[in-house]
Amino acid sequence: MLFNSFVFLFVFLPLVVVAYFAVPQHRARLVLIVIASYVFYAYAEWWFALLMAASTLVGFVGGQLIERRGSKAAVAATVVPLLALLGAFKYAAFVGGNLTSFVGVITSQGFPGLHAFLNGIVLPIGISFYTFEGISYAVDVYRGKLKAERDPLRYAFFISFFPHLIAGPIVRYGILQPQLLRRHPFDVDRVREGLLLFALGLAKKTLVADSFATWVNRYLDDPSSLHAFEAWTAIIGFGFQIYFDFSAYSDMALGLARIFGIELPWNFNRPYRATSPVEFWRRWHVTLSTWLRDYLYIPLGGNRKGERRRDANLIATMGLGGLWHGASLNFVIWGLYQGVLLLATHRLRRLGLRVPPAVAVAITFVVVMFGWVFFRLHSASAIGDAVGAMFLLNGLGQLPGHLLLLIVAATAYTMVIPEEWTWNVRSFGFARVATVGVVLAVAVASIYTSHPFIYFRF
Amino acid sequence: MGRLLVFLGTAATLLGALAALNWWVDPFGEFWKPNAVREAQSSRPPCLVSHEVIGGEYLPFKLDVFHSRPTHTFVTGSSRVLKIGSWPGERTFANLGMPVMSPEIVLKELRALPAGRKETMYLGVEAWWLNPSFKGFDVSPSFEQRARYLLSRSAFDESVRTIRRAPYVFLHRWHKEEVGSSCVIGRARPALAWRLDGSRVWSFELDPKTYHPAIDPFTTDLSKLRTGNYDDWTELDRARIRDLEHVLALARSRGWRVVGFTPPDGDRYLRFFASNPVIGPRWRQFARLMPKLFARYGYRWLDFRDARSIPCPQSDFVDGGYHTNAACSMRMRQRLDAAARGQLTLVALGDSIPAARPRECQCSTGFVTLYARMLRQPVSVRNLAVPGANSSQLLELLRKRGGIHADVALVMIGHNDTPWVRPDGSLRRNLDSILNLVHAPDVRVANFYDDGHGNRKIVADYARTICDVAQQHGARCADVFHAFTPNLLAADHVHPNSAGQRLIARLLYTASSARSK
Repeated sequence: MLFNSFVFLFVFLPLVVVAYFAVPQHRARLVLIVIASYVFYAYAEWWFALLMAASTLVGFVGGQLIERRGSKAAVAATVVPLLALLGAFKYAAFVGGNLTSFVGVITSQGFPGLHAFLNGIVLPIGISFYTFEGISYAVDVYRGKLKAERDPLRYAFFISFFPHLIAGPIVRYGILQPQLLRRHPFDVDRVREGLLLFALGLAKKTLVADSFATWVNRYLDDPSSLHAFEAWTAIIGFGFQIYFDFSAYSDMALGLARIFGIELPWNFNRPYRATSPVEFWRRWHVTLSTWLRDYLYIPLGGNRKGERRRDANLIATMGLGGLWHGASLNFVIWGLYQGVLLLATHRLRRLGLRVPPAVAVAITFVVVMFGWVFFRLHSASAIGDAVGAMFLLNGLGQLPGHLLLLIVAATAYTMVIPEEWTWNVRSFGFARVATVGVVLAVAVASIYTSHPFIYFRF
Repeated sequence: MGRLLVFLGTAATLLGALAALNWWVDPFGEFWKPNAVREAQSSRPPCLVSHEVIGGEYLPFKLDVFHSRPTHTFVTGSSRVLKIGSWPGERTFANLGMPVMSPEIVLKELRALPAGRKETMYLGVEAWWLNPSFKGFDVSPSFEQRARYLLSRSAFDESVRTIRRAPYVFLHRWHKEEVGSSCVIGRARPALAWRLDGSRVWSFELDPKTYHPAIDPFTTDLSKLRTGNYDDWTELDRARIRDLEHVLALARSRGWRVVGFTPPDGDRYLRFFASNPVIGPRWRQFARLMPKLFARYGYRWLDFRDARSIPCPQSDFVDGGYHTNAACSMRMRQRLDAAARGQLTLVALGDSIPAARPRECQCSTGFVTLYARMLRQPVSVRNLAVPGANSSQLLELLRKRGGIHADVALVMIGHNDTPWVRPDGSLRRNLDSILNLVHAPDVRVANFYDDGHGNRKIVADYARTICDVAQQHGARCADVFHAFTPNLLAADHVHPNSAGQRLIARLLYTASSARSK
């Protein structure tokens, strides 16, 4: 079920909210949310729910095993099945497809049956997110940061809680557990606050991100015909599209969770204001970047084993981070590109190079935006066409006026106004609240032509 | 709580107003408006109903058409059958076709029709229906789809545009518009209109000054051709074939008469379909499958793929593939009516002998008509014989027409090829080419008799040649040469008299198949 669907907005959400506060017992409320979350998840495909249940079972049993044994083998016994589920559904087609193609080139065999089987594998939405949450739980228990959860209901709530289930934020159990131990009475201010944040997120998605999508797709669906101005504008437009799209989802998730009294971690903090790629990753998809830091980069040795090892760890972490986004080489290249940017930042810092903040923001903006080429375009030829166009191989061309206007407006907005989740919506008076009501109505009216959330496919 | 109520109340009020406006104006026709059709029916003379009012509500409209008339005969199929209409004054015919139709929708439509009535159905089957990638129109939108429409900004924008164009829509959802000499129940822009028999007309057909749609250029890009209906066609869709079988089984269980056909294409697309590596094989499979499928249920199949078989001229086809000419559609209707009545189509080709002009043969009825009577069933006769024609001229005529299609073809040619009339010497070659252009399951060829004006040996050679060629084509040959006697000649000593005509008819009727010889 999608947040920007009518069935969610007009049936699922009102029913769940009303039922949640109508039920007085805390435990019954947890049961209600877990059931609702499974319905939410199974709405796309019924078997998705079975997969999530299996992942939940592995994580829950694994946590207790890790606490009892305290061994790396117990961690592996938990993490490997979780990764196996992810690998089977997300990466089997990618790895198998490339392998069979490679073998096919050597042996001149097409393996059409195997190709058809691999292509037929459906990616369950959200699997990347709840797998990472399960792994973080297992590792935290192993590290002694957390006590293993004894209550399967609370653990099931952690994995399945529908606001963050499909596209994050990637929640750690340490953040959620204390909130699950206490009852959240109906607080009209908190509910209003959550709804306002959700409404702002929905508006950001349907009014801003989708406006970018319409223009960006027009150019990037056929990059072979682009000139320099169009290529740069389209890629920068995509950079704003994905930012507004994903940060909108995060705002909606934060708002929804707040209605139920749960505070989720924030994910974005105006990333295009960053003065370096390192800072960009402290502002962009923060729950993923911190996850990668804590559960991949540091276990690989982080920066404790010398500079060379640190560089290798960074590249490996970012490459795998890219692969997390999708089973496709372009995501790996995007991740490696980001890794190179981080390395370059470290090197330049060591050289003591200092630039004015405005210049640093501009440079970071350009290099980050350039990286979106590898994220948005999936084939080598399309990437080649776009990069060629960006570097003037096809001439300057014309400035796409509409998209440029959107970019100027978005740049001004994001540079001046802080991230929506930081707004003090609780203090909004009647006029502002009514204005957000108007914005919500316009946003709902725009759902008809809305595009799917980009991060759903990850 | 007050601020929460203001927030939710503001949003709910605005969305409610939006839904009310979109429902009232209904700019894309997502809600069935039976009163508009009633108004068209009650007008004198009856009006047409604009597409603006019908929109996507094809199914309820077509069912309404069926029920509001004493329908005995109806046609259904894609947009390419929508110009098949009633004959003047006919009230028992309905066109139940819809744009972007598919076998599933046909089945749904037929199931909604009453079971107890004897009907004749003309089912126009499109080849692309059997393309698994083709998706038909959703004739029953869900509650969620309707809600999304009511609450959509794009519908709102269009509602506002409609109100600007036709402010009366605020009070009256439709209006009686005059388009040419016709009245149309609609709004300011009735580009397409539906007749009350369910057939469709463009407004430019009613008034040439009104909107004329742009003609799609000829394209070989499968993603664009007929909105991509032929794209990614790898196999005949078994599920859709099953649906078609369910349609035919349903019709048989209700005791209906059915004639299947495929709507025609112009020459350029025919050549493209035949040669395209994606469409060609499937297209030929389709053509082989359909007659068998319909025959399995005891129904006839008319292959109209080639427009010339109807016959319709190429000028009836725009490059987008839609035949815009109503006359062509009505010629299809004629063939369908004939097929439904069990009526055969008979074409006669030749010279003055099959033409049988009374002043030449001193007879009232030629052998073509006599032969048709012998069949003892309704026959639609087209006598294309041209007095004075020799085999070269007949061949030229057929080439111009792109061949002929019929159930039965009678050919008698060659009399004017003889050296003493018009020396040519190419009768064998010409006749061979002629028979290649005759597309009929029953072809009968008559050789000619000796009228005594020339060398009997040469006539005998010609007669033998004619039967040889007929034999090579699997046609039946009537040996008139050996059966004919001089007393069967008319006063002009050239043409057969009444008795001669009867003899030729009988010989043709009794001629056995060359293959069976």
